[in-house]
Amino acid sequence: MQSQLQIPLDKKIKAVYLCIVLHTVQIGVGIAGFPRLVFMEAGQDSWISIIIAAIGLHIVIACLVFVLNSYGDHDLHGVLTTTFGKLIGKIITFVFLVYFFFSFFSVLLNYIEIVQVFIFPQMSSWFIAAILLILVLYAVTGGVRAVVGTSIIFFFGTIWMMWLLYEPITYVQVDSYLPMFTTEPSAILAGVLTTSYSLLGFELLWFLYPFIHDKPKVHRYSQLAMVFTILMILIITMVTIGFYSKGQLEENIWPVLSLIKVISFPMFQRFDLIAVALWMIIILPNLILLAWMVSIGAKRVFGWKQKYYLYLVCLIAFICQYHFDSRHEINDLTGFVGEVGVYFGFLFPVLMVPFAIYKRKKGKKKDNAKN
Amino acid sequence: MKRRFKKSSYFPCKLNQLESDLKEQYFNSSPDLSSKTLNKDGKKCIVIFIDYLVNSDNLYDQVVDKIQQTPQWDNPSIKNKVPISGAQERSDIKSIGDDLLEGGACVYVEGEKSCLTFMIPRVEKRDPERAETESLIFGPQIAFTESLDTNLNIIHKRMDTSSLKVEKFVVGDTVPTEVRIVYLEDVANEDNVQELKDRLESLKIDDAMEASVLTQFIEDNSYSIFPQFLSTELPDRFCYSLKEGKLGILVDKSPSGVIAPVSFFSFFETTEDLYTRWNMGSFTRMLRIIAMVLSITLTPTYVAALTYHYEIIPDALLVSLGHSRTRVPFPPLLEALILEFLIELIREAGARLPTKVGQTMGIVGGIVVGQAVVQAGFTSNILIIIVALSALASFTAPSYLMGSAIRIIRFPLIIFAGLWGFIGIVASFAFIAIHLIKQRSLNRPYFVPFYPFQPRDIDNSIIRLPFLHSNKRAYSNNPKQVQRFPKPKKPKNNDIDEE
Repeated sequence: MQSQLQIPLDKKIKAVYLCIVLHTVQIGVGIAGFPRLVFMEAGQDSWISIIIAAIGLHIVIACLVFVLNSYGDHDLHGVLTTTFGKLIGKIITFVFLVYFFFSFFSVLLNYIEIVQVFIFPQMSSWFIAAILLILVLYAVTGGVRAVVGTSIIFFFGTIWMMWLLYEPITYVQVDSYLPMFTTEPSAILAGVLTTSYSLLGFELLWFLYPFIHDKPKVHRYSQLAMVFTILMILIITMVTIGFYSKGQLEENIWPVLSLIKVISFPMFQRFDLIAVALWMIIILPNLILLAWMVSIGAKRVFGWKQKYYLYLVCLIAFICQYHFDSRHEINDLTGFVGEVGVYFGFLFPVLMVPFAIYKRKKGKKKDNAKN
Repeated sequence: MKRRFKKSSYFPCKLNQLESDLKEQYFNSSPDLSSKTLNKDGKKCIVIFIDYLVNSDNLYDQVVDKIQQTPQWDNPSIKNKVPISGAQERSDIKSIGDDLLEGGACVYVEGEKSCLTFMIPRVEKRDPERAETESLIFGPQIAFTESLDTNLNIIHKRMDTSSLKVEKFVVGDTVPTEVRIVYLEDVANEDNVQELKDRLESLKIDDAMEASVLTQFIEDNSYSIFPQFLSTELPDRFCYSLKEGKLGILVDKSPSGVIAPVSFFSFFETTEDLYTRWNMGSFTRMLRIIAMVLSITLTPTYVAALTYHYEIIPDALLVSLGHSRTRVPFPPLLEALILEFLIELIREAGARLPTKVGQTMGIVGGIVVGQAVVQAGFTSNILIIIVALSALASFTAPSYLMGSAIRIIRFPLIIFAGLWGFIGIVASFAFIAIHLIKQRSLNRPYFVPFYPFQPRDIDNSIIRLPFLHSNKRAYSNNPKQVQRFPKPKKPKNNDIDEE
């Protein structure tokens, strides 16, 4: 069948890497501002929102992997075309690609803004965009091996930054978490929605699935990756809420980055400057994986070579960033991508489950008929 | 111009004619062709050879003397009497000429239908000496020489096992050079061997010149600054890698052996880490890797911090730094580039000069110029410390090529740091990391054991565990036998003071 992907064995990756790859695509530029957003909705009970969102996330991942497993060696395009026919499948995949492109673009814009606010107010946006896009181009041309490799290396290169929370933790005031369980349920639910924006990114599995060598382990490791992400978000949010007072937190757009300001080493008086520069290494896997997704998805939908789509994606992103230069526009775009993402990321896999069950039953009938 | 040689029908001929034909048709009237005519019972015989290509002892004792002792002069009996193996019967000028060039002596008895050639080459070679570029404090000190025979001899002596396999290739059209692949047949991965063979066989070049040149022809990415095949002059390093399941390449006329596939971190290993105790070995290995990282970060960080991010410099240091920089008229970028360039100058001058002058050079360059540069207000004291430290750190890399690569990457890093501060540094580091991940060595991943993540390989790559615990070969090479030796049994878990 055409939609079945044939991938040589040495291009495939182990399922263990999902643990880190899915985590790196979820954690990115959003985490810097996330604690404030969730606090503004759910207040000191934000942790309840996060945990509810986490439960939802695990269910969605279970659905997603169930769907993928029932279709065999297919990616999103393959799943959709076998279910809905060629035309509709291609259209829906294309809509997905547009959404992925916008999330790629919003990550890019947000990081550019962080750099301009924290380190170089005069550095022009196109220049930072050019640096990032060149790195993305260079990595994605290396294929899936390089794409996955970069996220793993960059993950190990930045995970030690969690230790930076040690000093802020000593300033945490327990009062900030009190009183517990007083937030309105509707506020908690709003918090859940906010949390789900920053959990997006696991849609990568739709495209990465055919490249995984040991498929039975996919479910285990993707769930593990989710646990890892949730834990990280939870810890960072709790520390941030404990560290700031209520008013302070609401005024700080990137509370996590400001948190690092209190840290100083004997060699570095202010570590936050280095941390913001290092943040590039946290968001690069994001950009690289998203660019890879868009380019390979476009190849599956329209044919032609993947690298041309990659150049196209980078070019469009580079041209479009000229038109976004105010905080408001970027904020609107990010909010929009998040809202749309809830449907694409969370709702879509659940909607696909009935089709997957139908497909499985049909498959069984066929097997029985054969026997 | 193509010379024409008459085939087969050439012999029999007159002795003088053979000599003059050889001289004029094959050797272009070369003055080096010598000959000796012998007479016995009216029969005449001529021995032709090139003076400086044959071993004269062999020529007179084993060839000329023996021929004179032969009772009857014809090809079979001469062949029988002369004790040199591999005598060839040649019947055209071209093949005789080829044999003469390889150090042969040609014997022709008048009236015979063919001519005999005996190989008695004189090979000028030096004895194996102590390793110079990769010097060790202890452990075997012998180094490879330019002679392939000597090198193979050393390897066979070190690895006295029947599974050692040596395969011969000839590379180069104008100047054919003998190349040997060496590996352990029951350990090395077949795909690797096949890949290397394919690369050598499909190679179409005029001259392989040297092992390092051949390496550049067959490595995976010729555009990268990082070497992908490890070349070493130490036979023990070479043999150790073979035992790990890697492949070795030896090139005639080259004093270095090449090892493939290797990872990035192989370039920071020495066999000395194995000879010292495991904890010392681990320490020095990590020291080298840290030194590499420091060597490429220190100066760029200085430049970035002073140009854009002075906030990160601690108060106490800021005062002395500011004081020492008050007289410096250049921006930090220029200051750092001048000093780095100076260090590279001293290194290059030291490498080109003879050893005796080299020492003076070090003193003049290092101490006099260093002092004067600071006093003249060209650079700050602190930069001198930083640059000297990073130069020192780059020299810890055991592989000369890797050390040079590290020193050279520093320059773009300094420039990017000077232009865009920490963003420039981080972006360059990200670029290097992506590059290393994309890199392959003989189609095997280069950045192993980090990616693909192989925790089992860490016991003998970045650190070195005691041999009892690291009894396995690196998984990344896909060896046929993973275990080097069975793991010793653990003693029963006794309590303190119990037997």
